[in-house]
Amino acid sequence: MNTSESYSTLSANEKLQQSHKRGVIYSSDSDPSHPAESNSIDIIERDLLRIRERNRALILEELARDVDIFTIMRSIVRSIEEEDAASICTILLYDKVTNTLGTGAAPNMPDFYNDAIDGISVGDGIGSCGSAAFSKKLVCVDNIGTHPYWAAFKELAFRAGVQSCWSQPILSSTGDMVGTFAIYHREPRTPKDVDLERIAYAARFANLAIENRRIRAEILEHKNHLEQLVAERTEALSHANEELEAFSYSVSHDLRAPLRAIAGFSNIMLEDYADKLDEDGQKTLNTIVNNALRMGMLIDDILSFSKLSRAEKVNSTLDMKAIFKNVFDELLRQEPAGHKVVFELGELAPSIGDQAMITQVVTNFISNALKYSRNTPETKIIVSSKIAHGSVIYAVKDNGAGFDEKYKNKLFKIFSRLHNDRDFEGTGIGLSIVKKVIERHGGVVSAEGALGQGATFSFSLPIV
Amino acid sequence: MNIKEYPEVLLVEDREEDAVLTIRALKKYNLINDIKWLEDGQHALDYLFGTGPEKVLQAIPKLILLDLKLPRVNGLEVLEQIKASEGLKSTPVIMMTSSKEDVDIKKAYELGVNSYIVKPIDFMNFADAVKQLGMYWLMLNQPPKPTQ
Repeated sequence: MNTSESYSTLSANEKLQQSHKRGVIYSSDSDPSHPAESNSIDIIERDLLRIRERNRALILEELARDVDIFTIMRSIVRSIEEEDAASICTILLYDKVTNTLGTGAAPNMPDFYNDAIDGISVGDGIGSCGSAAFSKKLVCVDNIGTHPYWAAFKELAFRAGVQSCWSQPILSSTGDMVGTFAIYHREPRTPKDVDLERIAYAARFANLAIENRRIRAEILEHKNHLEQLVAERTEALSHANEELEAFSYSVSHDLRAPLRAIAGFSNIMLEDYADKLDEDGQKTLNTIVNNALRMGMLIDDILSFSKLSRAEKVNSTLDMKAIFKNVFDELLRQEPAGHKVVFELGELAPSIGDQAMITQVVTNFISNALKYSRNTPETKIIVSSKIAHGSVIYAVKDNGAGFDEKYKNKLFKIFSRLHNDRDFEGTGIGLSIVKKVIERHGGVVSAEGALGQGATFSFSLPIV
Repeated sequence: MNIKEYPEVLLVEDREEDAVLTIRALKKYNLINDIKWLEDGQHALDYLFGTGPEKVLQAIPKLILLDLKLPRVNGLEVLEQIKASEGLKSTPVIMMTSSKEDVDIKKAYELGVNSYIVKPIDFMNFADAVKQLGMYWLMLNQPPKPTQ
């Protein structure tokens, strides 16, 4: 180790006093343990261990609670003072910016002493602690009165009533300087192995406590930062939502009005100028009307899509069979009279969800089934449910136009359609609404089908 | 000097196209002879309460058709003042609007609207809606007798 090196840094005239000097520099990783020599030592050591265990448990409890670091450091200092009843202990904390040490905990040192050494520089030969912090090694000054490290502080120490000071650097787990743990005595004293073990333990424990509080403070800071971030984001989001609300409001009002004029005045032209328009002219005006109406449907669908994603979800138990039945009855009324439909509604398991939203989902599925089977002479729609993977899966099967499996991944995408508008009109929004609603309920949607052979659409919802 | 006016129906509508379509539908089914069309909410209030420089209403119309989104004073504000007025509160007021917004519908009914119609884009449906409400309010409905 570097004991001799440290000595060699002393000046020549100090070497004269070498015999009086009681200061020894120990390497902090020296092994302090040694075998017990007698029964009485055994008993003392057992008592000390009991005290240590008890104090350690108390301090760990403080650490677990929200106790501040200065209180905990005082507890550590007092626990060491209890183990060595003749001692006065202190913890100094290292300030990296100023390269100084400041008082951390010194409950039994007089205030004038603590004030005087508060902010002392770290450096070779500046007391025991300044030197220990400088060398990152244990510095034991056995006799303050004669040791050169203490020349400048000796009077102060005598006034405080201490004559020896051993100081162990407190190092972080990454080896950085955290502070020092010092044990003072009222008379000159050389540390025994048990003392060296104790001061090493004290410094390790102090570091654990300090690191714990530092990490805790960092976590708290992160948590506060996160909370602030969440609050800011929430505000931004609700602001954006309000804007979207205003936007969709004005879309709903302002975009419809011109469409009504386009469709209305085209119709007026058809009515008032029928005799002046040939078939082509009438067809052209009808195209204008139809497109205005289609645009109207698009606006309605986009609005309901954006509304559904913003609307608050209100959960209740859903009688899925009743929902399917009501929706089917309602939609069948709107079907062309010639469209014969067989509706097979099995016993459906109930679920939990937003009644209005799920009714919308069911409406979209059934109206799709009806729409795409309009050209099927014997339309058959079968609705069933089964329990699988911890949820209820509802399936709507039809024997309509079906779809090409190749384009399956486009089915639920907004504005994407697998059929020509001439064959089956639509806006390409219905299934994306379905997907959004089901996903908001924690479920999934899927589809199976083949061109010309019908389709089966499934969605899952929670089990009651 | 004020010109005396006795319109059967008062229409408050800022979009000329919608006004034309509405008037056309009402006339087509011979539901009205006389309709007064005003283009904004402030005009409507001035007309109804005689607060403006122009023509003043002399008799209460049988029906007021009110658009929701109007310049200056919107339809809900006009509705509120009509329903707060002793002389006018019995007059049926129908909101005719493009807005399907639930908040508007709720607010209009809270203020005492008699009907709330979302104007269809489809002309046929639109004409049909106007015809039906005209038939109901102008022919079927029995209003209270004027007190004076």
